[in-house]
Amino acid sequence: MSKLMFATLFAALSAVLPAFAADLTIDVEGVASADGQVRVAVFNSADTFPVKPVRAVGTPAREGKVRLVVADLPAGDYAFAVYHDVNGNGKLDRNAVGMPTEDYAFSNNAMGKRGAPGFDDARVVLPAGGASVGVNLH
Amino acid sequence: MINRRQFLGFAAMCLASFPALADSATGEVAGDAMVLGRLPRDLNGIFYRNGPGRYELGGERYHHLFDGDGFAQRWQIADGKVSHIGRYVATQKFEEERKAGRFLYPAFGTYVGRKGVKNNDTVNVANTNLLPFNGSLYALWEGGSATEMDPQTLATRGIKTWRKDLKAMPFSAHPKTDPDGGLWNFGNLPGSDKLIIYRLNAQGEVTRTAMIPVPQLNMVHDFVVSGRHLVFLLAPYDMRPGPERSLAESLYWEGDKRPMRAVVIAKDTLTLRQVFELPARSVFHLGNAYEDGSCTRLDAVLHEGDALVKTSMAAREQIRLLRDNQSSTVQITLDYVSGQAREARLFGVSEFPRVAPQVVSARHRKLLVLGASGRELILDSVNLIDTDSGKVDGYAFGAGWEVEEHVLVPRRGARSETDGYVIGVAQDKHHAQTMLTVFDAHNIQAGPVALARLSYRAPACFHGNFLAT
Repeated sequence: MSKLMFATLFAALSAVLPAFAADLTIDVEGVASADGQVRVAVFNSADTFPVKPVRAVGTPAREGKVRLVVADLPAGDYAFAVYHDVNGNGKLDRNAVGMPTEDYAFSNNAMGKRGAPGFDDARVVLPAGGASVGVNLH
Repeated sequence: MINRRQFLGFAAMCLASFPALADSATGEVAGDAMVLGRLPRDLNGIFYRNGPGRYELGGERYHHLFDGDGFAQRWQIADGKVSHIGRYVATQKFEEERKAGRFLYPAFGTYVGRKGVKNNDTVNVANTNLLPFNGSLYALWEGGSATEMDPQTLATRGIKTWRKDLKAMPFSAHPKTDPDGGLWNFGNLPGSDKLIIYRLNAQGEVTRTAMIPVPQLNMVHDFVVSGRHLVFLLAPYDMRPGPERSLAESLYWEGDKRPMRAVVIAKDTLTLRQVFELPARSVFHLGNAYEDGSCTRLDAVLHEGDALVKTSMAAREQIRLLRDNQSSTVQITLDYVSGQAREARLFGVSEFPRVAPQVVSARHRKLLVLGASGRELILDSVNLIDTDSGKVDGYAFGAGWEVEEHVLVPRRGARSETDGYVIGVAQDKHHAQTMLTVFDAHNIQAGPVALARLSYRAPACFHGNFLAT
């Protein structure tokens, strides 16, 4: 494969990439402190939500607001769960009676009657051009 | 807590608008009381109290006595003067709903589902007790964390986490003081069937905890501590949660199928020692417990039938007098050898049992209760029962009065349980004014030695504690 062909192919790929690789930008408000990480798990179906994410990313916490970018997702419907991993142990902590003890939220700030909402309530649409959504941990 | 008729009276007090409350964010009230009679010179201190203050928001009304958001009150007795302040506990729920202008979250007996509940403290109304402890002040609720308050201003400081791993763990509204200055308490998340035990030292540090599995542990409000045991009385409720149902609406009385249980935990090991069975009744409050040979003796106020869920009403306009849940104060003897529990009646229709602070978990002989009289059985009398002889020293305020919890306040270096005062609050319904009451503990029947009258009506309270200064 010549260099020219490679360059042409790359250019062509680049041209179509946005259709397959949209960025989901999540602005997380209500971060209580700068301790630990703010983590998000992204789900692409009702079957997998909120257990098997397609992608998980994190960023150091900062009091107030932090931005997470989940890059290169195929356009489509998603839901996400975000939480403030204050002690940085990589999981949403619960107390001995099972109550979550770290701040958490779902996309659209949706909540179920007891715990997680349904996928439809938390659904965000990610078009090919990407999307920016807000969520509040409080 | 109280039977249906008492409830109607109490609920009327709670649900009536109270004009003293400024329509502000905090609901702050403040006033100096007019003292009638002789205020004892050696009675100085602060009487902290708490109860459900907000039942209505945005035209919507709660249905159950236990629903209202906490309204903390502080009576100061100093140098022959009495002053009062009160304000709402600024819980997360209270603040969010105030800003929204309407109820968002479910209350104990009223389902509201405008916002999802992230954990138990989301719906914490901090409305049941106000406890001065280790230089701080805590507004207590049954199903979540304590809420720390400023002891002077009653400004809310926020959720109290006693230890990192205990965040959002239920910390009940009825802790018991230990002679060493620390506390015993328990917690229960309805439906979890786990009884959490806490031991705090006088510095507020958690020194021991335990998680004890107890089947069908669906409602437990209070307990008693003796020299060697913690005793819980469990009424026969089943829990059947459903969509759009409040907690009260998920509790079902099973008194025709199951007994009341007395669950005894050993203090040394924090493990279950024995379970006793008693005839089915409902129960909120206990007095005190002490060891007597191979037995533990304790006092409790027991209600016929289901006094918890029925303590509700469909709406204010639809009050219906159903059958009463008559209560009585009894002494229960738990005999570890025979495995039997016996009961002896101490007093008729009554509620809000308390003992002198210096005898908690030790041998006591005096139990203070409110009594009810008249056709409507409104709580209207203060009664000190001698639990050995059954004799009662009591005073009835009579018609037009509604009496709230009273407490025993020992003199410094008190030589007996009656060496001190009995103080409490009574509502003068005719004048719509609230009064602090002071009795000589050795002569209740002589009537109050002093009354301190506010020019306004303060919201009715559930429980409180006196801090001598």
